[in-house]
Amino acid sequence: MNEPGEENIVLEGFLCPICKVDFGLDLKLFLHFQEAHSEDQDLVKSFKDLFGKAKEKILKNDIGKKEERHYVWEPQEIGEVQSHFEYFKHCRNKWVEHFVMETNKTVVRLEKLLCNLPQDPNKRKIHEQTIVHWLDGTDVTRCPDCTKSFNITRRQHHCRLCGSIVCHECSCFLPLSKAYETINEPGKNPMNSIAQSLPSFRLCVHCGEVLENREQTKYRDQKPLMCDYYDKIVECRNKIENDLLIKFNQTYNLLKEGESSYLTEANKIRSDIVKLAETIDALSNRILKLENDTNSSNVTTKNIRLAMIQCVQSTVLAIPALPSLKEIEEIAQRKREVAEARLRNGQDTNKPKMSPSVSKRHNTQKNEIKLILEDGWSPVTNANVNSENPVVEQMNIIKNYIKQAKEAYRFDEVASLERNLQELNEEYFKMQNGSRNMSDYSTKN
Amino acid sequence: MDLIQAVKLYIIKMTEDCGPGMKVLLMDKTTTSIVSAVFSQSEILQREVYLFEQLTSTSSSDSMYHMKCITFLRPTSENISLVCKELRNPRYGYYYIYFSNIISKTDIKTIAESDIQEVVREVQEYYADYLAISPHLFSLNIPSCGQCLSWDPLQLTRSTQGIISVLLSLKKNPLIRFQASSKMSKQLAEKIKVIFSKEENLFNLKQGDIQPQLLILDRREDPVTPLLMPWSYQAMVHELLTINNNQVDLSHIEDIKPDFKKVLLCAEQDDLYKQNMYKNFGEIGEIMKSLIDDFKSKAKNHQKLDTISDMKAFVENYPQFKKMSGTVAKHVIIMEQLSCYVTKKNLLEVSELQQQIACDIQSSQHTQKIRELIEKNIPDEEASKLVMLYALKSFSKDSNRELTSLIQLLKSKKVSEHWIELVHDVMKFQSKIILDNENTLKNAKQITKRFYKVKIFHY
Ligand SMILES: [Zn+2]
Ligand SMILES: [Zn+2]
Ligand SMILES: [Zn+2]
Repeated sequence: MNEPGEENIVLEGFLCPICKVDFGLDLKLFLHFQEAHSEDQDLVKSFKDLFGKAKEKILKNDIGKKEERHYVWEPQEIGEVQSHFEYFKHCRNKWVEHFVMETNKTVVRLEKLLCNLPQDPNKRKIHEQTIVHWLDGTDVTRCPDCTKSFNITRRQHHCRLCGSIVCHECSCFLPLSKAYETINEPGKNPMNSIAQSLPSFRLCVHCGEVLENREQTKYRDQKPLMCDYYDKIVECRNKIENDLLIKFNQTYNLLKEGESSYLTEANKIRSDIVKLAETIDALSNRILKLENDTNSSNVTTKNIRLAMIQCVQSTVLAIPALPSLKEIEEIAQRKREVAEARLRNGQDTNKPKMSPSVSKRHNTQKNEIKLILEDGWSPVTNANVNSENPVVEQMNIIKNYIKQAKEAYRFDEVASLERNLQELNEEYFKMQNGSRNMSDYSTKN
Repeated sequence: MDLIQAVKLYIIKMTEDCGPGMKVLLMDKTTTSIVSAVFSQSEILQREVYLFEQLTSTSSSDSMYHMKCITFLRPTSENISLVCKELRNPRYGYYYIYFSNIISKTDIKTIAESDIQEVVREVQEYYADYLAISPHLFSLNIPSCGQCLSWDPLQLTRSTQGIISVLLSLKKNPLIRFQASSKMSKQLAEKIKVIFSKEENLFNLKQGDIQPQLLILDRREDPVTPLLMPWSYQAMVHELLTINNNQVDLSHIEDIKPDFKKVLLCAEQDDLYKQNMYKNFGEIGEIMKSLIDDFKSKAKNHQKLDTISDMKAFVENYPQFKKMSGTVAKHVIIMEQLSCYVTKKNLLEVSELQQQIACDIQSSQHTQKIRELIEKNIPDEEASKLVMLYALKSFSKDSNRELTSLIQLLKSKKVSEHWIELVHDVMKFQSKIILDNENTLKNAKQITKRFYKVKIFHY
């Protein structure tokens, strides 16, 4: 690999766009361009007539059958990415450790405060001060949080948990009942009703936040009813997409090959899919009908409903109606006739077995095609088989052409012939809708 | 190297990274338009994203812990502090944070220290920091990037970031080439170069045999082209009706159907548009006609369809046709508008004269023709554009006198002051160029430039 440093040299100057030599001056470059690359001068000349032609086109609409230019974009992988998560975790761990320690310290203090808390206000104040050392306020002239100076109207207050001094605006209150909850002993409060009326703890904003954060994490695992419904929807979707649709397509293909014994099973799978789709529809409707307390939840439920309607629609589109028993038997009948015809012609001693396995059938197909080519099946000898369909005849002719073209190394023609063949193939699939003799030709060779 | 695909792949990856479950997409104003440029609502809903939120200082406080939050933001200092605020009081279950460009270690640390509840599961740089308009065209939605011929420093940074993200999203480490005559091009090239060497590891990319080139050109080098009338479909729609974030506003049309007040012109979702956006006006008319003819023959109707208004009438009279091909109806309405403007503004004649002025250096006959057209009361902008073109293309002493009299004519036709000022600006710009370069030198550059253009398309 090249050195990135060297690769990124910024070139500047009057560079010739073709040979990338710097000519230093506009004029020199101009002269060089005239001498060395005169063929490109056509660009300049042709520009003048351009409009005349364009105008004609605009007015007269004479569009010739010109070659369409289609850009084919190469398959693309995701661009560069850079993860910072390791560094992020490193920074977070340090900080969280510090924070957890602080939280624990705060909670332990709260426990001590609540243990044998006196009801009498004066005794209570002494109790509080023996647990937490209160900062001496004589030298504190300003609130450390908002930096406003203390005076008669803005008085000093102590945080009961850390002893620091704040003003009224920078403090908050922790009700006693909540305090007991915080230390996980709501039952241990003997005078629950009295505790309600007792004054709360005054806290600084910092200590308040620490406790608040601890509280919040408790509720994080609660899930609304919507989630249950949604999980069920996802379950149904997975069942349809990863299981039933695959099974359905397999049996559907077997039916199209005349295997009537699969009709009951196919019907069952089909009705299972429809039932699940109905369940999805009903569940998403129930989500929509849920009482939501916030605007965001309302938007979310509406969007879930919308997404599920789309999902149900595309599922239903993916399962076509099944052929009737009569149609399947007709396919089987045609197949039998073809096989018999082949036996009579002595072309095929290797009669294809009716195997339920799809992969096995593919193998036999390939063998047959080989036989066809090696035996030099020509459109004439197979007239009895092919006359029933001109497309097959056409396909055989093209196959023959391809073979000849390959021998002559005319690969561009091979490509275009193969495109033709592909189109015919598709056409034939549409017409025959899955009869057996068609699949002899379905693989390109 | 499809830009739309590049942005899409990033966003798909975001929705996959966080696994199954209900998701919310938290964005800023810019990333919202980046995402909506490449994804339709139904597409993104199928990826389990059910809520779209913009991160602002006034975001709602609705908490939904059962949702995973994909946070996709530009790495601005404002966004960093907003993310910190969000993480201190997280509203959603887990956060998967993606920045659209390179972010500093310090910012990562700041965010990490706000994540006390440990809700962040991912922090990545995904370089989707541009609006992918089409597979080969992006925009940064900067209305004006400079003033008085030099960069607005903020926009220089934004442009650098934009180009860096385009390169990283396409995994390209190019050779930078720029137009040396432009100071702005040079500054941009140098800024990009600085980032290349600073982020050596990021740009240590596997390259093919041929190193790609990043070509930086100054649009001012060619002031002529923007003054010319374009005739290809997309360009015409933009010139005459204006395309904004893939949308065309048609609400000014009298008795327009509510469905068509604002129409989406998006090649990703509209095959008819995708196939025809670069075809010229006449061709599109023909295609529309044949589409409708085709339907007509099926419907066994014998209405005449020779003009675009006939077509419009036809489409409106066929509800089932409208249902069958709403897109065709949309394009027919747009085409009708375009053709209406072409007639009303005399654009065929104007355009022909524009081309003659642009290509022909002898200007003696042009002033007469410009006068004739202005007398025909063509719109202000077309009249002024013709005079501007003339100003850019005439170098003789006579032409100054001619210009003065043309401006006089504009004034007598009550052309608005704004346009007259623009004509004066162009004249000033032109005289500066004449001072800077001799004519011959200028020609040489134009050849080079033309070649550059060809190269851009290859890239
Ligand atoms: Zn050269
Ligand atoms: Zn305070
Ligand atoms: Zn405190």
